[in-house]
Amino acid sequence: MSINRLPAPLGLYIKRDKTINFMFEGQRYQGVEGDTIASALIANDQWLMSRSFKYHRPRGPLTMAGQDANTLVQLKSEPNVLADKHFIRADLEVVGQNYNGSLENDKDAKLSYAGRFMPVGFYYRAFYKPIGIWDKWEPFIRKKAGLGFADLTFKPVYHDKAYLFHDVAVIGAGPAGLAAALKAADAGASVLLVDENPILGGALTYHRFDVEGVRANELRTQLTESVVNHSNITILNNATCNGWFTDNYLPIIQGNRMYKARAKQCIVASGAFEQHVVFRNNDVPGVVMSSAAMRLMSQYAIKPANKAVVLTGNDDGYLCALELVRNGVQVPVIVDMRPNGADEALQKAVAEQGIKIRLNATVYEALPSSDKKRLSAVQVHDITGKGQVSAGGVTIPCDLLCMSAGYMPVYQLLCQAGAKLSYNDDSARFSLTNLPKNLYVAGSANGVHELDAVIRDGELAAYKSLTSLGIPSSEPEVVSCVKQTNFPWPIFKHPKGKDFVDFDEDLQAKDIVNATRLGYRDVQLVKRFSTVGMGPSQGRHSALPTARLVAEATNRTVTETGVTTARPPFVPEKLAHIAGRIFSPHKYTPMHQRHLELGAHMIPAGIWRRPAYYGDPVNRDKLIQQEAEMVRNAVGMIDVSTLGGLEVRGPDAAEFVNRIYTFGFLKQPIGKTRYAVLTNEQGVVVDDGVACRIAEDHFYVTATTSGVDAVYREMTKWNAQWRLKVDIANVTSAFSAVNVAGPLARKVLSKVCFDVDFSNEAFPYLAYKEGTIDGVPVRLLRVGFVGELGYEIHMPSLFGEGIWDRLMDAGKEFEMKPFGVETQRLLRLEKGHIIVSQDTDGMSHPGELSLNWAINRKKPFFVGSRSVDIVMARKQTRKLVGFKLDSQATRPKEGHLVLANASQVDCAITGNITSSEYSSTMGANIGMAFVGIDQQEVGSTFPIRVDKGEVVMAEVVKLPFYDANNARQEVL
Amino acid sequence: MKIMNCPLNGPRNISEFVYGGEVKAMPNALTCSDKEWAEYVFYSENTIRVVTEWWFHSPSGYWFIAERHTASDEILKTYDPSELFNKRVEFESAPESAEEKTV
Amino acid sequence: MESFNLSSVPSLRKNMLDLTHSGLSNASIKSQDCTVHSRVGFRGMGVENFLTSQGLPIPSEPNQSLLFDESLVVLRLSKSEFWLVDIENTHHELIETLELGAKGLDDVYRLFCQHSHACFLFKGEQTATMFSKVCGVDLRRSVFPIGSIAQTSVARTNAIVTRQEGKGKEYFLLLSDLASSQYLWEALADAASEFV
Repeated sequence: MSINRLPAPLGLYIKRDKTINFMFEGQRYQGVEGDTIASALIANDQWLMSRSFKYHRPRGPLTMAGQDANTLVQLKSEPNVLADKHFIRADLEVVGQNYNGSLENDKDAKLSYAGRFMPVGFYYRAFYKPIGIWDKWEPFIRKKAGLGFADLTFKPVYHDKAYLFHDVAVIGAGPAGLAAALKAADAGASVLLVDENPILGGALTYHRFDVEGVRANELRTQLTESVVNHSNITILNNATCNGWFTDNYLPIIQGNRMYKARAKQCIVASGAFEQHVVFRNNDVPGVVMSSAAMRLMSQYAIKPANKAVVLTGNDDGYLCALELVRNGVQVPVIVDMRPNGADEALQKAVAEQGIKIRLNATVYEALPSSDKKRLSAVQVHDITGKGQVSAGGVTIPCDLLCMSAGYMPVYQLLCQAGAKLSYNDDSARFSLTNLPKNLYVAGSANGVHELDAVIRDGELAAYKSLTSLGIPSSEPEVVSCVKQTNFPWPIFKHPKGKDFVDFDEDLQAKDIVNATRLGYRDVQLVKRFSTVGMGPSQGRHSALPTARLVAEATNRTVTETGVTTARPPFVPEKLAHIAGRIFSPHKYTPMHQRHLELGAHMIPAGIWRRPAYYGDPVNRDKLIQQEAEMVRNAVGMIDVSTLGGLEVRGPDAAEFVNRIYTFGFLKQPIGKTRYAVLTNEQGVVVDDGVACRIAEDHFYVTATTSGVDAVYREMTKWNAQWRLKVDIANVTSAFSAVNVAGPLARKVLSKVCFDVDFSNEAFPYLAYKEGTIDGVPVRLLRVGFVGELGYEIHMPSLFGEGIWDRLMDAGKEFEMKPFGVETQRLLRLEKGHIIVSQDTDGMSHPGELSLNWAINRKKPFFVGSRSVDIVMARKQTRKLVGFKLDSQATRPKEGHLVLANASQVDCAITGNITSSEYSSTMGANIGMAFVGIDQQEVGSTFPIRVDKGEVVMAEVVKLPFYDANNARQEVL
Repeated sequence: MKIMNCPLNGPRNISEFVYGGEVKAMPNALTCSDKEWAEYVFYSENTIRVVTEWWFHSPSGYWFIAERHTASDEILKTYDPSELFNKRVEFESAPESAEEKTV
Repeated sequence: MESFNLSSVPSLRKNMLDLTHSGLSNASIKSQDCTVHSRVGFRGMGVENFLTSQGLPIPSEPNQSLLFDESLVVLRLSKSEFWLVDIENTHHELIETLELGAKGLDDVYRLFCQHSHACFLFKGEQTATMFSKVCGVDLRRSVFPIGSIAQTSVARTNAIVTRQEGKGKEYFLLLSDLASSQYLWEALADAASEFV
């Protein structure tokens, strides 16, 4: 089959010999490689592609550049795809969106006639009273109004991210961007050139800049050749720079990858969006921007119509008309909104082609064909004043209307960077000022439209970038542009409406004006009330007419009115792009493989993975009780490698530890350990551990798993001020550790470590020793955390697994098994030991935790000492206590509330449960809780509100629950 | 993402750093009033000005000091803490008759 | 006390890393796990003199490194912190001698990098590009020449990265927390998988 396309060199995007078949609305269509869905459909004369969001009006492409929401289509597993950006491939299945029935015959199209009963804010105002009614209406309205549908069987595909590092990033590869990139690269800078299109050139790929129509292609060929062959330039095309973040941090999406470009200098040459004219039915398929018609011809080699009318407010409309005629389109008339028309040469060239010119006139209404799917004629009226037209008009049949009302800078990235957008109401010209350091704007984004000036503007931006980089280069002349491209008031309200300001949201001119009448004077409020600019095209075309309408209605200038805030992303981005690869670091202990082999149920403990217990989670309670009984009655072993470890060494080591922790450490004997509580400057307990004095000038201090990094930071920060002679090292990962606990622990240790005397006399409770196991040096701490005879063995990590194996082997004859962290939590709870950050919160001072004994009040200073003094001198309000409940009672959960009394009516909350577990050793549910200061008496009861509002009574118990005189940990 | 210049490691993404609060002179914990102590611990001026702050470069475990403008968020300079702290700090024992510790 | 010798029984060192799940073996980026090789670190104002007295070269600036005897990398991580990393596991005796020799010296504190860190080596033209997928520091040769060190974040974990050249071959060394090394190895294998 022959492809009906215009001859080369038109068709820059396509390979006309490679045909591709795809499906649209269940019908087979043929396009060629390089076609977008929209261009392929238009080549087949199918202009209707989707329906509008609110009124279900038929819609076709407006920009052919992905800047409007008129072409949102549904792919099999992807909704809201831009038909004018998405390339076709074989077997693509496309359908339209927002219709009930079929795209051609939408049963909801009559909504359009109900439009006057559905003013802006209609939904909010009509469906919110009485309260609750919205819940009933919402599903119905969502179905009528929503965009595409999500495919719930969708399988995620690989997305990732990568950094790019360049001296200069140039956003946009139009004439300004190409010129800027070349100048910067020629001077030796490394340049990143980013463009959203498949080929470089920007407006040079479609716009006609001269009467003869040769300049653009010549210049494009010349510039792109130099850029492509330049070794200093990296090109990213089909790529969108989707935001600007501080210090030129630029997220650039290309395919499934998001680049995070870091540029020392950034030049935004993002171009300008052509603007539409507001008149009745300006959304009928076939009403397009002039640039869209030129894109269809130049990029896709498509003859866009048989007969076209051009509606213009600048000279570019004339150039578009010439291009249309060159490609066989009849252009009966150019309707020029200006009173004086274009420059003489253009008028002459147009006249030579037999095109009539009607000055001081506008299209007042577009007339659709009888099936509503395509433009059939336009009605042209004389302009009699600002936005005013004569009564009578003439009807001109045509199947295409090209609009050129002017341009608005693509200001989004620049305004995200803090630039201010200004508009001169007299010249209708935009400017961007107040740019941060190392960011520049060039080309039509900078309000420069004449081609030579655009090139120079690009070079000027490159010169400024190079100067900031300290690279010498020649200074271009300052650019001035006199060409006026914006018609000041291209808005012609129609009494019957459908004169769209915002196509995405189906907003008409009166909707904006009405918003101001309801009191929304600020453009930000107009946006929130009317939803103008909130659709997928984010105000690319609605921002300017909205600003003009609001300015007029409130007697202000457009600059005073301003535009709404631009925020990233510039185009919609997928969550998969933001997520990229999942970098969620987690830590394993050296015994990790062993835990897995033993069937451990692994749980996250901060950044670590730890065994909760060994066995199937369905047997959780039973497994924990079994493991606990093993430790109480024989011996068990737990991997405590996650424990934080800090080395404090140097002549001032004792002085330093003494200043950091609450206890006294100056006189701590060598070979002894001491409980170490850390308070912050507010006097709150933030960490605890054990300080081992290894030598006069050497402490090894443990810290909590989750707290050690913060403790290390605090320690080093303090010593950056104190300047003590001490070295502080975080050795958490350098040591792995186990705790062998239970009455038989000594027997196990004695079988593997022969150079240490484990007798109670030689190695008493709280002593520290060093020894070797199979030649591996180990640090040994006699501990009682779980309330039994116990030893912590700390060994260098690369030996961790080996020592674990050796100990497991030695424990075999005593039926020693490993136990998990949940079992350890139960055992220490029975013993009444707190876990900082579980049994404490951001307000807990030592007095509330009964830790007064661990504070040395005689030393001159410790971090938090003064605050502890102050809070302890005050009236206390709560206390951490032990409690128990009958084993039959509902077991409270951690976080459940403690009440002042059981009545529940207007009842004050006095505290909360911090730990709670069933203890088979005690035969009861036990726990710890903060209670009111008057609820702390041992033997008294206090109410706890558990799930579903039930209240249970718990009895205060003196801690510890188990082995009050510490006989167990002293077992001989 | 913002870039900060670490005196040891050079310019880096701000995500490599941990904020450590303003640099403040600690009043004498034994002799100051409760009010002075509370102001030191809890109060911050929070005005538009250049603040001197502690910052920690996490990958190298290095504390340094940065001067930053609170309105523009511009980091004016960064330097090693030894420029401000170059003497060993001592804490005296409580004097026998402590100065009035008024509330 | 303090008989504690971190360099002892090198034969019993074992890395828990499970390399079977890595896609790195068939990629054009070659990687090697050097975690069980010998290394030692020192910090303190006395270290520079101590290492010089042992005949070792000293990089003049922090975040610079030098190669000694073809396969021992001397890294200077700050004014007063130095690490020695044995690439081919042939310098154990020297490292153990240094560790023992430093004991009792004024202002020389032995560090624990032998056991706290994993050590990976990467070779191949695309290595810097691979790192750009996981690291925010530009590691291309033009800005990160041989001997450079970056103490930075790699795949959201702290790491030390350095570019070296030994026996005519260029390579990157990566040192990072031993406990998260399995995670990091898998993240790097994922990043490298496109470079076949």
